[in-house]
Amino acid sequence: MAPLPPNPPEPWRSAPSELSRLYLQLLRELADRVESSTQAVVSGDVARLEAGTAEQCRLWQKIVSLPPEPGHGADPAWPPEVVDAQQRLLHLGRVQRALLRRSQQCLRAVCNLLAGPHSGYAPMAGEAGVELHPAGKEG
Amino acid sequence: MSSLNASLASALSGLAAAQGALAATTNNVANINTPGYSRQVPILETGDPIVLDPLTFGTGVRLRTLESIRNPILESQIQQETQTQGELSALVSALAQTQSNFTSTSGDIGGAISKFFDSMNQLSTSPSDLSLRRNVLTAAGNVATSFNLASGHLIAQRTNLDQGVEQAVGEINQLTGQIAQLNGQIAILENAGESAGTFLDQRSQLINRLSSLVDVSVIPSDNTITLTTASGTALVAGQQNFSLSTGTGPSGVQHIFAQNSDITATIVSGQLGGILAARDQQIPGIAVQLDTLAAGLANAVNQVQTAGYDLNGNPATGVNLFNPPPASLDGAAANLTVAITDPALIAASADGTPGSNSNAEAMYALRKQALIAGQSASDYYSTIVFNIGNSVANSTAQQEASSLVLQQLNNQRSAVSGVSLDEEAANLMRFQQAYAASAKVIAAISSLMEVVINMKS
Repeated sequence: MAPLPPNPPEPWRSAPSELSRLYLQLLRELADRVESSTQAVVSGDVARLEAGTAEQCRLWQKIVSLPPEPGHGADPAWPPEVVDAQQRLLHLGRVQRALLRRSQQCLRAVCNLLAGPHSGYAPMAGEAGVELHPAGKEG
Repeated sequence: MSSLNASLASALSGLAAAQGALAATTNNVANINTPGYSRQVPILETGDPIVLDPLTFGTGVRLRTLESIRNPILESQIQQETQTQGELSALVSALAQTQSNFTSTSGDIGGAISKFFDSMNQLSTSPSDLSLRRNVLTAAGNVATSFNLASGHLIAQRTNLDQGVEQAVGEINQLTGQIAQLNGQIAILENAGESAGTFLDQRSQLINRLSSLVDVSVIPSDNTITLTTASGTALVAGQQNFSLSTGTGPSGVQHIFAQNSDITATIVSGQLGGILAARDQQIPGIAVQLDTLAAGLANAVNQVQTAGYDLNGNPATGVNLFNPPPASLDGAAANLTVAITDPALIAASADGTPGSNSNAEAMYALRKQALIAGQSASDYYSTIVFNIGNSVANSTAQQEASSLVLQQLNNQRSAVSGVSLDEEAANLMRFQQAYAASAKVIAAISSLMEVVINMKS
């Protein structure tokens, strides 16, 4: 019986250049998805935004499953193109966050309007820095 | 019974209406690339009928008005977004300049602090070496200079921003004057029942430019508008504009006044809002952090220095390395200087014995100690630089987000108010045919009249 071919090496276990290439590819793909989602937020295309977010989660899971960032051990630091891709992704993420924050503010205004005059205009419970009222402590 | 003359009048009204509609179409096509132009649509209505019992005869058509197509909600959204864009643009520009001052190699505080501690470390290896002592003084001088430079940059930047305030106020006054003038022209035309579309477009463009400078609220009323800042300061009421003025405030920077009332703190958006945020919040915040760092470092070094003994074995009580910063910390970075010029006065020894280096080691140990807000001097400086970079990155992202939204709004506006060449081409043919048909009717009536005239002769 012929011997089984050896298992293909896991990409991130191979040479650093292989890891960089894979990381770069994932980063670029993720950046494109974030950019597409940004357009979806601007044009109010919720379906496209949701699909884009799911895809981003999938890509992110792939990225976090890669070995830790080199430079902290014996591995070399990332090549410049990877660093550029990281910077681009970071910037796009910031733009996306700014847009989503604006959308959130609009939604909050609409929620307050719909809630009528009985509700206050304070930030909604559950938002960052706002504690939920513990049940049983009221009244 | 309708006469030939009445029919002729009807046909002539058709001719005039088609001609007016063709003029609107021509104007639309001509303005296809004019920024802010809103396409015009001819509004036609039937002429008042004549009742000749038992019949009712039409009297043709009349061109009531040429209506400019606008969406007031979109216009308002564009104005608001333009304000945000103006604010962020000014803020990013100011912060980027601050960042470049902090990241430039000249006056690098972090590097100077690091070299100062390196020189102290070298001195601890040979505390009696005068050249090493001179190196410490030079390095201390470089620390002081780098603080002075960084603080000087911030002061210069505030002065530049102050000039920006005056410039923006001048532009605002110019624009409010033009808007008030246009309000008058629009009111005259609309009171006379005529279309003021072109002037409305011009006013809308001017309001947009004003929005990029300051936060503006538009309050429409009969045939005119009132413009106020978001906090309610009147800028334009009908045909009257209220000029803003500038004057030096108690803190030595330009404040903005409206009818003798200081409104500086109420301006939160537009380019002016961005300039004020950078001048009165961001830059002073960084200056306070720099003062805290300078004072924290100088006090810590002085404390160790004054506890030691100089090269001659004399106690260094009262002999500071840096001139002590003020207790209020105000101006600590700008005025930081080295207090001694004689290298022998550096207190490297802890007990006065020749060759002792304990105090130099204690000073070197300050490098890793938490001196300011639980951080070492270098870490605190890195935090300042990081925070500036972070503010620039966030503001740039917000500006880009705002640009995307503004672009989307402008696209929506173009879809509503913009000129479509296809639509105008169809309209051109429609009105051309209407004109030709009316002309044919006139020709037909003319020949009928000829028949009548010939019958009589």
